[in-house]
Amino acid sequence: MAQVQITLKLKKIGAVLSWEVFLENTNSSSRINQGWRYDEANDLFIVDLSNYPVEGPLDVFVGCEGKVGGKVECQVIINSITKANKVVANNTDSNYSCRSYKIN
Amino acid sequence: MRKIFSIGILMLGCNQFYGQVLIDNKFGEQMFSPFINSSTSRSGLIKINSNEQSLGFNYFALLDPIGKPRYKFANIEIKSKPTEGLAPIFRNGQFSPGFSIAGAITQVKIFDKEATKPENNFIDWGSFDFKFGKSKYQMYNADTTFDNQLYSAQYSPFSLNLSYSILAHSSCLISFKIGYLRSNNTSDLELVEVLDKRTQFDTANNTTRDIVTTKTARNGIYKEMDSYPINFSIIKLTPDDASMSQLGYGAFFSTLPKNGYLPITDVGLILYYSTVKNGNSTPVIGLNIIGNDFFDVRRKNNGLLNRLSLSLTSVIKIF
Repeated sequence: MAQVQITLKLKKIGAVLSWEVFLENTNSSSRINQGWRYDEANDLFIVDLSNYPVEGPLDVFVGCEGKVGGKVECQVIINSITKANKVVANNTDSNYSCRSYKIN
Repeated sequence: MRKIFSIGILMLGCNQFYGQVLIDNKFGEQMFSPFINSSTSRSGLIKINSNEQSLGFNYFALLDPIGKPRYKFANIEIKSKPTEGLAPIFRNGQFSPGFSIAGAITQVKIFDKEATKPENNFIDWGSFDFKFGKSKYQMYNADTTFDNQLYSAQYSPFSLNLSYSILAHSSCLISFKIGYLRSNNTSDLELVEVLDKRTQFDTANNTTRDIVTTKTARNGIYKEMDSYPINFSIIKLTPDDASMSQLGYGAFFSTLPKNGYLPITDVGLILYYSTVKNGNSTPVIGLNIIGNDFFDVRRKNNGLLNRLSLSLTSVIKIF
């Protein structure tokens, strides 16, 4: 099991009333709901997770609710390496959006 | 048709408030809890409403940590206005000050499940709000002694409300609000100009001089009573990802049962035009067509067209 530094940068586009991010699975205990801060200059919500234990690839789940056309984009940075693809979730999606990221 | 054109200008100090800002009632009060798309944990805005001629300050604070799908927020509003508007100030130098303090706590997700997914096609929120303040009215009552015909009435408005909103299928907003309001009868009393005229005659110059003072007053006996406002609205919201400007529309129903009076009901249609900027659909101009006293309880046989009013609202974002 590896311990990694993870930074998540979440951007809301449009009217998003509620959102959540999970790592590994969508159990409520895996929800990242502490430590978020708002970067006003870049309009981003950011959380840093130190020494996060990961076994195999890191699965990131994102969900949101709000007005039609609204969405959130979550950029994942692992050990200071910005991963290429963002997790994009729409308000109208019926389930969580998920991407799997390899740990280098 | 009575036409009231007014421009409610909201100067936003942040980009958190969308969609519902146009749907204040004709007295400049929000008909239900606002549709707030919060980003920061705290923010404020200055609000000018030319319809009721008020200046207000709103402060918003998130009460739960960022990142929880179910959360609470609070907002406080302080508002100041001349009770009878600006016209008597410019016309007679007559200023009747009024102020109000309002606060609300809103819970996002009440009956909707805590998780955002799997989607169940609705999200809800509800709020408890209170408001109190002080206002002063100039009154005129002809049925008393001359010295007592003009008098001031102090009004301390107080209200408690519960509101509940559902956003269904991400585009249809249904809102309901019920509450208690300590109200008065000033909106039922006619506004009159009282002219006091004194005449002097100067024999040396053989001249008559008239000294005239004018006061704007409500004609009748001031009364306060308990009332129970009920508001209902349904609004089709415009999408945030549209490539072109969009038209939104909706309807509202507002009634105010009062102790000792028949309830006065307003029914209206709302049309608004919104543009998409930076991924947010924001109303830029709205037209409210209001059937005042829809059931004509004040004056029977007065045609509905005579009670229609139009109001224009606009939003100007300054940064």
